[in-house]
Amino acid sequence: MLPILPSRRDRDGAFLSYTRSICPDCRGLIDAHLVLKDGQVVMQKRCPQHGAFEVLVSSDAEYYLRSLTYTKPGTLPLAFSTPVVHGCPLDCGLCEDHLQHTCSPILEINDKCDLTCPVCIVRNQQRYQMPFEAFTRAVDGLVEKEGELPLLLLSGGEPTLHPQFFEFCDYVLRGPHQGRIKRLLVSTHGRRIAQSPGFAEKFKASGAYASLQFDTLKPGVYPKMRGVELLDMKLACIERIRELDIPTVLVPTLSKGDNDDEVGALIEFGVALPQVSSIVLQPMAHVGDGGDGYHRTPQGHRLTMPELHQLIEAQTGWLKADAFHPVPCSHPTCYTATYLFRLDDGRYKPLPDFVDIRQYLDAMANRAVMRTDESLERMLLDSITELWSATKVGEDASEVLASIKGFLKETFSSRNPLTPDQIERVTEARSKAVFIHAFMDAWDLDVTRLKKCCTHYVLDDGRLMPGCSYNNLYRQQDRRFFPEARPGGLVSIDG
Amino acid sequence: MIPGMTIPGTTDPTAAAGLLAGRRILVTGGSGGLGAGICGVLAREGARVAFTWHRDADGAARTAAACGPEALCIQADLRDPAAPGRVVEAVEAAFGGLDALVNNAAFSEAVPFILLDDAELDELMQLNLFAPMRLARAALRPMIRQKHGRIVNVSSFVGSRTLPGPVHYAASKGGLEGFTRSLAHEAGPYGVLVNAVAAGIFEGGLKHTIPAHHQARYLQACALGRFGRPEECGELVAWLCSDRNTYTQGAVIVQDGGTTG
Ligand SMILES: NC(=O)c1ccc[n+]([C@@H]2O[C@H](COP(=O)([O-])OP(=O)(O)OC[C@H]3O[C@@H](n4cnc5c(N)ncnc54)[C@H](OP(=O)(O)O)[C@@H]3O)[C@@H](O)[C@H]2O)c1
Repeated sequence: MLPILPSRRDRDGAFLSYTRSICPDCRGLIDAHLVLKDGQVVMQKRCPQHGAFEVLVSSDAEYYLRSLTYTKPGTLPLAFSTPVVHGCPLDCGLCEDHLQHTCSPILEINDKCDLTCPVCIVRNQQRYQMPFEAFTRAVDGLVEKEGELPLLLLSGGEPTLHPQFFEFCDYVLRGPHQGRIKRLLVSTHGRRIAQSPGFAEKFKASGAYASLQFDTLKPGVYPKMRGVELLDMKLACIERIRELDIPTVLVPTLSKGDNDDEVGALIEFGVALPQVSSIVLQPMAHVGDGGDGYHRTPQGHRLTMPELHQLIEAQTGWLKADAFHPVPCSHPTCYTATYLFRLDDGRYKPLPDFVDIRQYLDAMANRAVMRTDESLERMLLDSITELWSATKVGEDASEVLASIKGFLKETFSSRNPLTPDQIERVTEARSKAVFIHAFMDAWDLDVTRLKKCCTHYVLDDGRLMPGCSYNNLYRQQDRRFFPEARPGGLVSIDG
Repeated sequence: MIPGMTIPGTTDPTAAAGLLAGRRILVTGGSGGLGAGICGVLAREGARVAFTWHRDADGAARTAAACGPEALCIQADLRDPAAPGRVVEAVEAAFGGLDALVNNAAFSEAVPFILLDDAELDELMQLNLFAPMRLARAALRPMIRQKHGRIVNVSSFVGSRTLPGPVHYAASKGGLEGFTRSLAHEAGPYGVLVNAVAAGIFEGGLKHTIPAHHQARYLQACALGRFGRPEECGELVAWLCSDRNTYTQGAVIVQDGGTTG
């Protein structure tokens, strides 16, 4: 009788690409594979000490593959800070191999906060207060590396609790770099704006934008995500924003099973509020307190890009999944966006509905804010000509044409001469952006995404750190927040 | 004396009192931009300046202050076909005559041609082309009577070049240049010199209708590497309005810092 030979089995997914990641347990650097499996993309990786891990990267493999096809060369910063020695992500700062300049810098000015949100991606130690000199040094270094910046985000902690908060705002907007940093955003829970009329008025006068954490419109959700019920305070904050006309970015953190049924309502809320220029949806990353204090693993809680696009379509009806496109300045899995244009009748229409999509992506390349430059002009002119010459001009087409015309008359008329800055504001008032920004955690960290990251933490030693490498690998070693942290490099298990 | 000339060799009375001493000059659109710059230079050169304004009362007050106590400040909507006649009458009544007219007031907006309706085409043409023609017609009566006059039309470098720019605006300036040339023939024999200045980009309201990337391209091509200042246009206009100009007629003089030449 012939011996029964063991039969070979296939792997459970098709290999797509190789990358590097970290072990969720020990944070050691390890190899990882992206694999097509059951119509999804998963990351499979193995730590010699802690075993194998499989994490969901994209709920729709087809979308994922399609999204990779649009890529543009990144823009170099004026200067890098660190040489390439060990390879990504061990040389952060930006190293000379980093593929994108800084579009969205984040500067943490404290780590004191009066909330202890389970979903917070920072692990506040309640001790650090950035000295003024360190702040100016960090801002100076940033301007040196970028020249001009569309925005700077002050974060923390709760930055509005910093005693020199308004001095910082002055330095950025009216100091030696006046005009170089176009918008100053302040990441805030909104309590001081809601509860202190004097503070709210000063905030308005400072010229900063409130980047307001705003997760829900229903009672019962904040206690779970933020530790206490905040709904009344958030709505009071919105009232102040409305009264004082404070420019605002609405930032919902989305957690599957907690508030993913409200994505549509949150978008509608932001669209209806004139002060809101953009809505930034942040699917929860399991990092910092969000990792430890919330769900033990992201398994079952991860909201990936295509899933979120579908939820938005299902819950709004008018904002279709295909209106969202990767923002070409970063990796397609990190950032997608759509720009909405306000029609004269008050409705918002996604730009991709009426412009050429390639031109649209070119016009939006390597930037965070819509600007009236050559590519936008070309896109609008072509779209006007296409809509106007179409044999059948639908009701919407004539409304769109009339609205674009109204916009041009508002912006480029000698009767109402505007400076370039004013033109930018009018453009901003005519449009809103919906961004989805997916931060990574130790589970899905992927160095190919890190390499093209354009959201960078500004450190006081002059380094700029891609957001997810800082949060997952470097934050714990930052002596400002963790004075006892041992100095030295990161662990690399396989090298 | 040959109309429009000073006799060579005679002492020039303008040398001390200014190039335009005693000349009565009407400038349209003097409340801001190029018009304000032009008014300032004309007044400096001794002219008695009358200017129109439409909506910018503060700007008008500033120009009036810069032009001295004799300045005449007239509010008028020059899109109205009856306004030019009334404006010229007012200047004649106040100054006892009119020696020069500077057609400067204009309007533009960057809207693609295919989106412009008839009312918008009409509105722009009324101000940019028909008002200068109506003003010139009214001003020619006293000028021809005295066998001396100067008309300067402020045009633009998009008037006769293939450049990106609002189509209706370019057409109005093209029309203004044709008007300048032919009127020079008709009015020249009566001592009236008619010319135009085709301005490049100057600090002024019209500059704001030009998107920043087009402005940047202009600066790159500009031999002087900068935008024009309103008073620089004023210097040229002052000379064209003066008796020093005796043989420049029907010309469209490009003043663009060496951008398109
Ligand atoms: N600026 C440039 O770059 C540029 C380039 C080429 C040619 N130009 C020419 O230079 C001239 C002046 O341009 P600018 O840039 O100085 O423009 P501006 O600053 O907008 O000034 C326009 C003037 O026209 C007056 N005006 C507007 N609408 C009027 C109306 N309906 N009735 C009467 N007056 C009216 C305005 O009066 P109120 O403000 O009081 O309403 C103002 O005094 C124009 O002929 C323009 O075509 C300018």
